[in-house]
Amino acid sequence: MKLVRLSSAILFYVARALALGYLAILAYLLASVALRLPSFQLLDKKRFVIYYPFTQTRFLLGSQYTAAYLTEMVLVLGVYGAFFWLLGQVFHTFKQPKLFTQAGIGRLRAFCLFNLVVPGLMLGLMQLLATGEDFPLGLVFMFHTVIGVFAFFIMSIFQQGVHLQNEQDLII
Amino acid sequence: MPIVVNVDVMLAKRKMQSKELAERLGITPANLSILKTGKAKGVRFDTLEALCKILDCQPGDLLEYVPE
Repeated sequence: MKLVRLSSAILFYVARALALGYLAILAYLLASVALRLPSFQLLDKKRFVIYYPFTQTRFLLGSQYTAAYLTEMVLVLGVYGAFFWLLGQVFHTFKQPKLFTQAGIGRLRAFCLFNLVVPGLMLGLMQLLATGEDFPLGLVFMFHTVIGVFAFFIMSIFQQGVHLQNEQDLII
Repeated sequence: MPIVVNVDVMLAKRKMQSKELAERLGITPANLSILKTGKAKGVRFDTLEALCKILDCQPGDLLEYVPE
């Protein structure tokens, strides 16, 4: 369990960093577009670019400056920001000294539901937006479904663990 | 449950308080209370051994079978 705790602690910080990275990019994108910051520039053929802050180095390139395209960008960044945040929560559960807790089950449930519900909704919305971007929708959906099912199994093991632990607490 | 725990009776006979017994057993007063009130699912042999040693009695003095 020591190795599990150590690797979970490392993965927790990696997942948190990724989540914060996605959410920071999302906030930067929204601020650049909504406030027309100097970091935002329209290019020819309705393309647009967002530069790294205070530089002229290209950071994000958009092939269409349309509401549908921007919605799709916001959607992907937001969903993956939330995904890595919840993944971090799962790793947080595995680094606790007491593994089987109601809080742990709650974190696993949130991660499981997120993976089973949100990607489907996101992909459905992306199909509706039809921006023409090349995105492996089927693969993404399958990947999240598999993760969601595994999270569901782990959640069931945790529920059993909490039950056994409660029983064990009554053996004096 | 048809198994009755008579720790209270032995405590009274030995004129010992629950708090002292819990301390000497190395368990929390809450866990001793679970044992005394019959809410416990089981008793470990080492707990039973310590109880017998501290209360100077036999396991049969602490546990009793009463048909339901």
